[in-house]
Amino acid sequence: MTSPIRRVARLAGLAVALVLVGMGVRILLPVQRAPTSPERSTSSERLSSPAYTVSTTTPDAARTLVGYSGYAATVKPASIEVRDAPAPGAPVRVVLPDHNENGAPQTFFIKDEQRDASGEVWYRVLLPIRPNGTTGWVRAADVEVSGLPYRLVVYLAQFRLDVFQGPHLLRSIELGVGTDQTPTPGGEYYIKELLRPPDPNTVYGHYVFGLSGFSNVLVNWPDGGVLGIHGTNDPAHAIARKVSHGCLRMRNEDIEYLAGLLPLGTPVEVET
Amino acid sequence: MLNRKRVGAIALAAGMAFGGVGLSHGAPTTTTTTAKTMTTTTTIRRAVAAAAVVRTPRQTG
Repeated sequence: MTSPIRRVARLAGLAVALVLVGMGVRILLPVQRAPTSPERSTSSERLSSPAYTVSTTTPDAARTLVGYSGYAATVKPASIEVRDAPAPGAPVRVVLPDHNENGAPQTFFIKDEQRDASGEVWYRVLLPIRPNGTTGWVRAADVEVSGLPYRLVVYLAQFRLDVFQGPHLLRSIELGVGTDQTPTPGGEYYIKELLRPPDPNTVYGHYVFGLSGFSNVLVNWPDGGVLGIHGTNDPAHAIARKVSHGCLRMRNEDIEYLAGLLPLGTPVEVET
Repeated sequence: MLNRKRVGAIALAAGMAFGGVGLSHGAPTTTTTTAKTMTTTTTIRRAVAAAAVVRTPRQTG
């Protein structure tokens, strides 16, 4: 017959053992695995989320910054290797210069971050290459990170572009969009350059934002068929219609407003 | 009245919970499954409006 004291001791021992087992099971659960192949953005990773948070760690303290719509990464060295996974030995997906073909600073939109086995931080970035939505990994040490206050959401069916600062709608702008033969492709892009045409009286109007995405139809266009957001010299026929080769056209007063507002890297979500 | 099964279940649940708390505090934020949290050792500055480059555009138009 077991004494009451021994029974209590056994139960206590059993409880302690199970607590330790429970802790072990929880700790051994996988949290996240590093991707090992080239990735594409998915619908569950929308660019438009305004809830990004950055924890900035300094030798003395840690602090948290909030309120940005996302983060841009600007290339620091003369060229940058973009890899298929967050590891120094991962295959190089593409090498890009510090300035793009139009002389703009090479900028990416940051989608994710991860540390490699040595503890080095890597960013998964949206790339300005085909196919649309391609991402790759860059070393955090090779880029300068900046917070993006704004994001754009385009509703092709409504010929409308909305400008958001966090959750606040700043402005709705009427658009002309791609024709049925040369449609504007839906997807997630970012602004990679701002151009001012030498002649403001062309189909491009006063300014042109180059996007990270491409037409799915015009593959032999100069520079590969880069999508853009620009003004127009013909607002009477270019707005609220399917008129373009894939670009988004707006009145010059609207593109001038955006040109004075948006940083490189600003995310653009195009809803079909 | 507590029997062995009840004690075991409670202890296992406590262990899971305690283990979870320990994990979330001890692991780096970079292992979160979303991009909502980022850690960096660099200073984050607010991006400013892009500088325009004077160039003949070649976008699709």
